[in-house]
Amino acid sequence: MRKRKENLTGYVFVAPALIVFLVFVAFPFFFSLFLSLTEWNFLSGWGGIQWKGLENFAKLAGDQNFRQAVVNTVIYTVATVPISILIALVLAYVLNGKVYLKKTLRLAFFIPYISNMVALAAVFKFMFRDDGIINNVLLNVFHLQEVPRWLSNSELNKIPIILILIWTAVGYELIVYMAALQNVPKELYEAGKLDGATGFKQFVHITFPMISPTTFYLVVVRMIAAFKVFSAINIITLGTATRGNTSLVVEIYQDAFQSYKFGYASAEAVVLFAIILAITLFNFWGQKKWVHY
Amino acid sequence: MKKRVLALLLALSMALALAACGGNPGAETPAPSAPAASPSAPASTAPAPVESPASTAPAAGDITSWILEEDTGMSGTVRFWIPFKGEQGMNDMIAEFNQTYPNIKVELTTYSNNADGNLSVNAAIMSEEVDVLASFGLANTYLRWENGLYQDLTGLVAGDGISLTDNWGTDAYTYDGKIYTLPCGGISYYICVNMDAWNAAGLGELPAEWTWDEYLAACEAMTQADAGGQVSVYGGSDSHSIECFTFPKYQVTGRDNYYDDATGLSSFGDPIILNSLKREIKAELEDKVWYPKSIYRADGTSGQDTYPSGKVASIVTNNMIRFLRDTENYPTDFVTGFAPYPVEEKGQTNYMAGVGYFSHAGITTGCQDQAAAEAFLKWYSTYGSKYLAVAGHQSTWKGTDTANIITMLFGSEDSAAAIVDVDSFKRVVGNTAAPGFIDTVNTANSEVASILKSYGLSALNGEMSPEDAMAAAQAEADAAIKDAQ
Repeated sequence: MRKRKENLTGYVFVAPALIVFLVFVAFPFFFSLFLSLTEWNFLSGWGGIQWKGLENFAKLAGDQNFRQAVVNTVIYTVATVPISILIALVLAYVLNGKVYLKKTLRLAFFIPYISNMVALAAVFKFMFRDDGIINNVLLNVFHLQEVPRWLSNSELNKIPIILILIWTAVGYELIVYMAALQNVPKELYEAGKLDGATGFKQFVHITFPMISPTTFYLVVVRMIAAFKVFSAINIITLGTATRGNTSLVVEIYQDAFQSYKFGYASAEAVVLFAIILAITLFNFWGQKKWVHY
Repeated sequence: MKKRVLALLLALSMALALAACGGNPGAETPAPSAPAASPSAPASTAPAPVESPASTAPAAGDITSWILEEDTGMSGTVRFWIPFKGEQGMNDMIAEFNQTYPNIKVELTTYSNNADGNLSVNAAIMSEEVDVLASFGLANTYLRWENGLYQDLTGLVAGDGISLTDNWGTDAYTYDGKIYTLPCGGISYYICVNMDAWNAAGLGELPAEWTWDEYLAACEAMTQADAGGQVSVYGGSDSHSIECFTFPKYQVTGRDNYYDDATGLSSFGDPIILNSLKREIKAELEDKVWYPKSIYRADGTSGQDTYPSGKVASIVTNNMIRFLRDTENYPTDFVTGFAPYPVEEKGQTNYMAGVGYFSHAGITTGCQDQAAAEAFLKWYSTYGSKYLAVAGHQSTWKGTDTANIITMLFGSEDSAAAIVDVDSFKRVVGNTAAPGFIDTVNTANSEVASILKSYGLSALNGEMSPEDAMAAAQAEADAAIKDAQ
């Protein structure tokens, strides 16, 4: 009886979190899986759901937009994750030493991460306008005759998007790296010094292996984030509706909330989930070779 | 109730989607509205003409006796949604309505006429928050007809003996033979001309009709460039919307810019559209007599940013009046004249010279005050529709006194004369006597429009040739249409 009461108390305590999880995570997840096998426009009500089996997935295979979105998403991921992690590592290493205005610099690098992405994207869009500061520099300092159309050219458009993704990611990665660097035992460096290892050798043979779990964590987290990129693209490409700059989540959003194809969009979301899961599993498999705990 | 649950679920899924899409947890807000794309449209085709039901009420041609309810002292509340703000004529419209119906309270909600805004409207209708809705564009309207978001007005129309043709010039806007909305709003395309630039170029009188070649020659004459070819004033500009190069299809055929009249597939292989695209690219990128559309798109600017400031000396537009009358935010130091939309060839009927149907008003299925909503709908779609002109649109109701529009917009003709050329305004803007265009096909509209805009912009950027861009657009759009059929 007492055991039962204890159990009941436990359930009461976890109930709020469980309810939130079930309503906001579990239900949408399974409903999305179900919808991916249907055709549904929510305006038509529950009765409008039509079972389609794997038809949506078959269509995805031949969908040029979806293919372009996958390619673009991979480009955004490959271009932003390694570069942002490398920059963050270098900055963290430098800021971990004796640097003038260390706290101010740390704050300055962190601010983009906590800033509103919509506002940041709007600022980047302003900078890369035809008559923006970037083109003014190119015109007046480098004396270019014809300035690039950053925002309307579907290939050049990726550059401001990648830059803003890197810029916002660096702040978070920097803080995580700084915490990791401070946890590397000083004795290892002293021992390394006795063995003749200094500077770069210390970094390669002591620092990098010791912070490899952090690097692994950042790679996983940033890859997932890069695959879900949305706001930066949505703002920067607003009005420039070429296909060259779309991403998977932008495509999902447009199919669901602009074209009202909830079944098809859910199928796209399931594919995105599968891609992220596969990459994360691959990362976990590969970490055995380079992550030292 | 079911629809309310669905609306709630939709709101939840939108919130989850937006929350999940962010890069910085806790630092994200939903993206502002994207630029305009219509919701997916049904696999259907032209609205079939419908007979105006016979009635005991007004005699043929009588377009006023049915408008007012017997008891104008009736009380109630109407929640009215439209993309225009109060200061864009809607406050004045409601004030005039209340002179007739003093006890009906009208609550105005302004929504954004883009994809996100229309999604919100649909969710609001399902949550029973909207009584009377003005839908802009056939794609949005059709989606609401098809999904039962508008009430069937066939009985009301029959009961009151309302002739759609006598009142609004067409009875084509039906779905499954039923009337859901009244086609009371339209748009009129014209060219605003900076008369200082026009006269300085010695171009004479404003034309009553002209071809594209003649208009572009005038643009060339008004363009100002330095010896190095750096343009300081472009002689002309298209509207900032990408799809405008398809409008000559309206001009020539009077219908359906995106769809082939014979096959119902896409019209992007039509020589009229391809030539129009080539003409625009030449004017913008080669001759540099038109402000480049790629800059409009990239910078997020619009005609109201270039024309009043003098960056362009003329512009193809449908709503510049809204900005010209706003002398505080868009001051001009020149008078604007008006010329009709150009034709492809001399002697053609110009279906862009009149007013094209654009907005449709109806009572939603979530309406809470039926009697008040009916009274308001009948009044708004007739007497009240003239106020659409304040926001740059036009009334399509045959009883609207177009001669007085200029007074309504500027206070008096004398006040107007300081800003616009009154004679050409009266001749060109909102000319309901001239032929207008109509959209009748809507299959896979949002996808077709998105495809056209994507490839159109690639061509206007110079990333693709116009031929390749339109061929690719046609192939994709045809596939989307066939899929929807």
